[in-house]
Amino acid sequence: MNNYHVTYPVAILAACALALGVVLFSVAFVRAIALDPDLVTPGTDQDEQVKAHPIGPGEFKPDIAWPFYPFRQSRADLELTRANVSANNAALWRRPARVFFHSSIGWWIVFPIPIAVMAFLLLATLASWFCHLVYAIVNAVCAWASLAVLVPAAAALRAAERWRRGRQLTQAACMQCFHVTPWPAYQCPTCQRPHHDIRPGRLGLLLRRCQCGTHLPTMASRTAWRVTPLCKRCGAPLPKGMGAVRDVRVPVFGDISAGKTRFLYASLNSLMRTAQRAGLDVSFPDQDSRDLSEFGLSVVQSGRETAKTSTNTQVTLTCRLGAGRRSQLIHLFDTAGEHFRSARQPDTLRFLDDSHGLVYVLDPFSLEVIRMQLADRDGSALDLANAASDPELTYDEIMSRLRDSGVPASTQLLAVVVSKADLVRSAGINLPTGSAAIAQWLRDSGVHNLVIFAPREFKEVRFFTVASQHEQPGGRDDPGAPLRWLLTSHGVRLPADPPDPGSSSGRADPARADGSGHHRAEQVSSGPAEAWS
Amino acid sequence: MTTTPVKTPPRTPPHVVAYRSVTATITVLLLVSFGSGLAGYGPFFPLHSLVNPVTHALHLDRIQG
Repeated sequence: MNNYHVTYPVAILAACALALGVVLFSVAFVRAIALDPDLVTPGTDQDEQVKAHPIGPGEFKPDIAWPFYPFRQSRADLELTRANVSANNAALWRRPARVFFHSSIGWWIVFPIPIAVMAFLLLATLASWFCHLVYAIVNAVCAWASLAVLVPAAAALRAAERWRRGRQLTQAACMQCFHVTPWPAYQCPTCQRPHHDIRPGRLGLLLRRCQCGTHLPTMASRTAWRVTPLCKRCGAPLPKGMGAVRDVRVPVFGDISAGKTRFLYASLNSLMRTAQRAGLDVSFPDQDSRDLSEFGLSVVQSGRETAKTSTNTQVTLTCRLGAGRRSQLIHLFDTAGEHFRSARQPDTLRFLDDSHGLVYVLDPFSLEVIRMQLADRDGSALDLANAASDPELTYDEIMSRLRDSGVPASTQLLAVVVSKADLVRSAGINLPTGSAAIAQWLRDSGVHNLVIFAPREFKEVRFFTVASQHEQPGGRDDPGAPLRWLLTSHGVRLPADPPDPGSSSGRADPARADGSGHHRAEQVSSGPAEAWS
Repeated sequence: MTTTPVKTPPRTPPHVVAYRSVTATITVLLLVSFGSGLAGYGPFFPLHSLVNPVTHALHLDRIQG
């Protein structure tokens, strides 16, 4: 062994074999990651995901975006490198194997040479696989290290988003199909492809790369301001910021001619005046809402009579209170009273199922007691009022619908609004103020079931009287009071309640925050009956 | 005469290039370190001791020669 003429050539040959192994691996590696890589495209990744986790009804395919390297591409690179190393070694061994083992037995006559050649090749092969092993370990360690950071970070960001959604009620409501989702889809501004699940995950932690190469921020709170939100069901574009701001939905229901549309516009008018006084922006994010509000507000402000809502149309009005990231979206719904008489129709009243608070508009002229009193006094008021029919029928229909749809009314608020209060008062009938007093008056007027059962079915019920004509915010029959109560109960930040026009100081009375018209001392003294919860 | 559109392969995203560069660099550094250790230099010196009989013999040969 200590012979220079033996060990030195052996060492040189061994070094050459090792070098050959390194070359074999290098060629395979460079081909795998640079020259001819197996690039896992978003489409391929989506197909694999769908195959692994078939999508169920109502679910969407995973979004088409580039997955994080450690989630998929690292495995593809490792597999391709292994295949290339294997192919290179196969090519290296092909000829010697044929010569030594298949065709020419004669080579074994020069016995040590085949052994030396095979030892050389074996060493080269082992060296190439050793290099591959090193790469595999590096690849795995890098992937695990990345996942160890990414997965907890994504989980933390998702939890933060979930907490924010729960705290701010940032759902996405479509005004076209009334579909409500926790967050909307967001449209890639370049390729127009919708991304249905923008949460941090395997497609990106803070940013994701769409298939077209466009970067989109993850998390609805950031994405909603940069790209167009879309309804997940019908694909209609939604207002900017949808999914990132508070979203409150308030449907108005009641019988035909109860004054629903009038109330809707009058309450909006009051809300806008209150906001305007406090310097708070009120805007309408879509053209339909702009047109509707412009028309409706002009009718209310001019004192003209509101036309009856067509049975073919539904008034869905979205307004944005405030501006930018601190704004809040408020949706108001109204439809013709005919629909509430057969309220179990599946789609017409879909907006009732996902509301935060309901407004039930009750026409006082539909009460037998009032009709009898007016018949004795002044029939003209009755003619003006265009009275609706039995108020409890519509309420019962709506309650049946909510129960059948599995909507938990016990989590919702109900504002019972006695409309046309100005007309009733003008006819010489005294209407009470304050929720408890109005409830008692309704009970005395024969609306027993509603007054008794509504507080049991809903989380909280309050009773209001509202004027059909223009009324100062903060007034006795302010139409904005029910809306303000429902909105503030759901966390909407509103300016301080309007001061009582009769008050000389002009200072807002906090006791009027619920629109009940009672002073705080009276509210406290009236006890649980005041809240009707 | 109609021409068929040529579908261009998607460009490799920068984050994939970055990850590949990092893993390749670490692999190369490790292999160089192993090689150096095998030759008696570098951080993986214990490797050198594995092949010590051969290198020692070469050393003796050199002295004797």
